[in-house]
Amino acid sequence: MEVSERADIIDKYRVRVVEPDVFRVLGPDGEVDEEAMSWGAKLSEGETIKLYRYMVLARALDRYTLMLHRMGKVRSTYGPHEGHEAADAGTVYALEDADWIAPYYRNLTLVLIRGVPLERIFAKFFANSGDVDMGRNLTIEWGGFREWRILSIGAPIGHQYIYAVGFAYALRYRGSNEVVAAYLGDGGSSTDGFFNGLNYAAVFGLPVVFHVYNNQYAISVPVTRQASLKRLATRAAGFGVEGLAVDGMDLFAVYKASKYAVERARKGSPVLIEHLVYRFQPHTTADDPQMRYRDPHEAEYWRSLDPIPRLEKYMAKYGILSESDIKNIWGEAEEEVRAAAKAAEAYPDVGPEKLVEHVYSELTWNLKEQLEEVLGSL
Amino acid sequence: MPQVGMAKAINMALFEEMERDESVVVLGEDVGKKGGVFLVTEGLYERFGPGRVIDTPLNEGGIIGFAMGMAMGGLRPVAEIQFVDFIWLGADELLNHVAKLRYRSAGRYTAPLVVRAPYGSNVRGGLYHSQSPEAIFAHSQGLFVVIPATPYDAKGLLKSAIRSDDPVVFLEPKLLYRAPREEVPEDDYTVPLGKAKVVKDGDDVTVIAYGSMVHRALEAAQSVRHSVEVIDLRTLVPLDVETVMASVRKTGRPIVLHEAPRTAGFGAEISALIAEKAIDYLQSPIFRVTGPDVPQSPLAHDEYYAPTVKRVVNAIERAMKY
Repeated sequence: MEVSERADIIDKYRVRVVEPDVFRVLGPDGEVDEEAMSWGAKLSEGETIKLYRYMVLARALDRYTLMLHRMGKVRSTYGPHEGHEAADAGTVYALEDADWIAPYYRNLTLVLIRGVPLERIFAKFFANSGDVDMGRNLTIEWGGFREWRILSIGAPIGHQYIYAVGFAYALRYRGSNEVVAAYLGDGGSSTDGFFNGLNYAAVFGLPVVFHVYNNQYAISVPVTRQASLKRLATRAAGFGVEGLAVDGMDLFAVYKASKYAVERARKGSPVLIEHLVYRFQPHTTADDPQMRYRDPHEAEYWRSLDPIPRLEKYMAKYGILSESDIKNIWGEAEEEVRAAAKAAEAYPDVGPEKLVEHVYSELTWNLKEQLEEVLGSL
Repeated sequence: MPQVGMAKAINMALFEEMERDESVVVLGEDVGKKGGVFLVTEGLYERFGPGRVIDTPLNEGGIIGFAMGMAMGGLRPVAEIQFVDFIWLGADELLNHVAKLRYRSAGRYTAPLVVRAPYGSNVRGGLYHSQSPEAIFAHSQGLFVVIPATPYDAKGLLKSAIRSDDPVVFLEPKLLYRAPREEVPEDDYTVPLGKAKVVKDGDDVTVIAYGSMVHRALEAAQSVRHSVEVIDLRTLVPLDVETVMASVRKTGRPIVLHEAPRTAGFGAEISALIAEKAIDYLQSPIFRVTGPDVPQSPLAHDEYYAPTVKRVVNAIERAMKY
C-alpha cells in the first residue's frame, strides 16, 4: 500500500478549532484596559459600587457561614463560593428583572442580588421553618426561590441546562421576551445535561445564556480531566453555539460579555460563556480543608486575581471609594450578616407533619398511613 | 362510535386534548411528520404544526429535561419515549428532577408532564424493545404510574394524565396497540387516575393484573371452572388499595400477575399489602405469576417469557387446591 503525505489535499476537509483568548478589562492591580473597556455595555459608578457591596456582603456571608458551620449550627455541608462573586454579580446584573435563572449551587452572590433576603438564606442553612423549601435541601441547593425567578436545582448537576432550554421554549411559546441564564461548573460541563442543553438550545434557537464557571476543580479533579481543550468555551462551537471566554474574576469583563450574550440570546441565538474563576475554599465543608490535591503555589497566583481586592484597587485608583468607605462597607456587611443569622435562628423547626407534604398534589392514602406511623414514634 | 385499537384511542386523546388546551404539546423522536413509529401521533403534526408537535434530537435525557422545563414554564408537554427500554438516558431527569421537583421546592415549582412509552414483550422485541420497568417508576416518589389495558381506558386515562397536576409515566402495552379493538366514543370523557376496575366478578380467586396481562387473566378465568375475579389496576401509583382488598377479602385467594421480572417487581408490593391488610381472609398463599428474573425478553423465548394463559390457569388451580 502506498500512502501519500500531501497535507494540502486533506487540509480543507479538516475541522479547525481556534481556542479563544480570555477577555479581561480590569487588571490585577486595578488598572483598566481602555480598549477592552470601550467595547459593549459599561457599568456606571453607582452600579459598580452597588455590585461591589453585594460581593462584599456575599463574601462576609460565606465566611460567617463557615464559622457557624464549625459551631455546628448549619444543618448540612456548606459549599463556599469565594472567588465566584464577580462572575455572579456581572452575569445576574446583565439580566432584566423579568428574566429567569437556572442556577447551580455555587451562586450565593447571584441569589443575594436577585433579592433573596439574608434571613431566608440563613433559615435555609439552618433548615428550619423559615426556609421556603421547608428544610428539605442542603444549604446551597436552591429548591424554590420562585419569587425571585430562580428556578430549582438538586445536587445531581447538569439537568438545569436542559430544563432551562425547555423553560425558554415555554417562554417563547407564550409570547414572552424573557431570557433564561443557566449555570454550571467545569465538572458540570461533562454531563449529559450540558450537551443536551447546548444542542437543544441551538437546534430550536432558544433564548438561553449558558454560564460555565470554570473554577479549575470538580472537588479534587482538575479541569484537565473534564476536557482535552484549553478552554471549555470551545465546546460551544461543536453545537453551533457562540462561545466566549472571560476572566470571571473581573466584574467588568463578566458584565460586558453577559450583557452581549443576553441580547444575542433574546434574539434567539444562545451563547455560552466560560468564566475563569478559582474556588479559593474547599468544595464543601466535607472536603479536605487543606486541599492537598492542589499545588499551593497555584492558589497564590489566583489570589492575585481575587475579584474583590481587584475592584477595591480600581476604586481607590480612580477615586470612586476611599479606604474608609471600603472599611465601612465591610463593617456594615458583617453586621448585616450577623443580625440576619440571629433573626433566622428564631424560626422553629419544621414540623414532622410536613414530611409527607408536596410529594404529590394531594396526600395519598399510603402517605397518610406512613405519617401516622412516624408520628406515633416521636 | 368507531371500533379502534389502543394506538388510535391514544391518538384520539392527544388530538382532543391539543384541541381543548393550547398549552398541550407533544415531543419526542419521530413524532412529527412520521407520526411516531407506532403511528400514535399520526396527523397531529399536520393539524397543530411543528411548534406543538416537536421532533427532538435523539436523546431521552434531552426529551425529558426539555419537557420538564416546558412544564415548569406552564405548558402541558406529552413526551414520547419511543420504547421504554430507552428511557434510562433520561433517568436522572425523570427520577431525580421531575419526580422530586414539587417536593424540593415545597410546592413552588411543579412539572405536570406526561411521559408516554410503549412497554412489554410478546412482540419479538428482544432485550431492548420488550421491557416492563414499571416498578422502578413506582419506586420513585413523586411520579404517577398509569398502564391502560383497553382502548377506552387508554383514551380516558391519558386525558386525565394530561390534565393532572402530577407528572405521569404512562406505559402503553404495545402488544395491544392494534388489537383488541373496541368502541371508543369520540366525545370528551375521562377515566380517573388512582381507580382500579373489576373487569370480571368472581368469588373463588382474585387475579390482579394490568396492561396486556389483564386479557390473559380474563382468558384464564374463562377456561377454568372456578369463579375468578379479575382486577385491572389501571393506575399503579396512586394505587387503589380499596378495590384490591375488597376483592381479596371476598375470595381469599389472590394471584398477582405481571410480565415484568418477579424479584422486587410491582407484584411484591401488592403481595406485601395483601399480607398486611387482609391476611386474616387468606385461604391460600399469595401467588405471583410473572416473567422470570432474566432480561426481558429473549427473542427465542418471547412467546412464553410473559405469563401465558396456561401459567395463569395453573396458578388458579394451585390456589384452589391449597
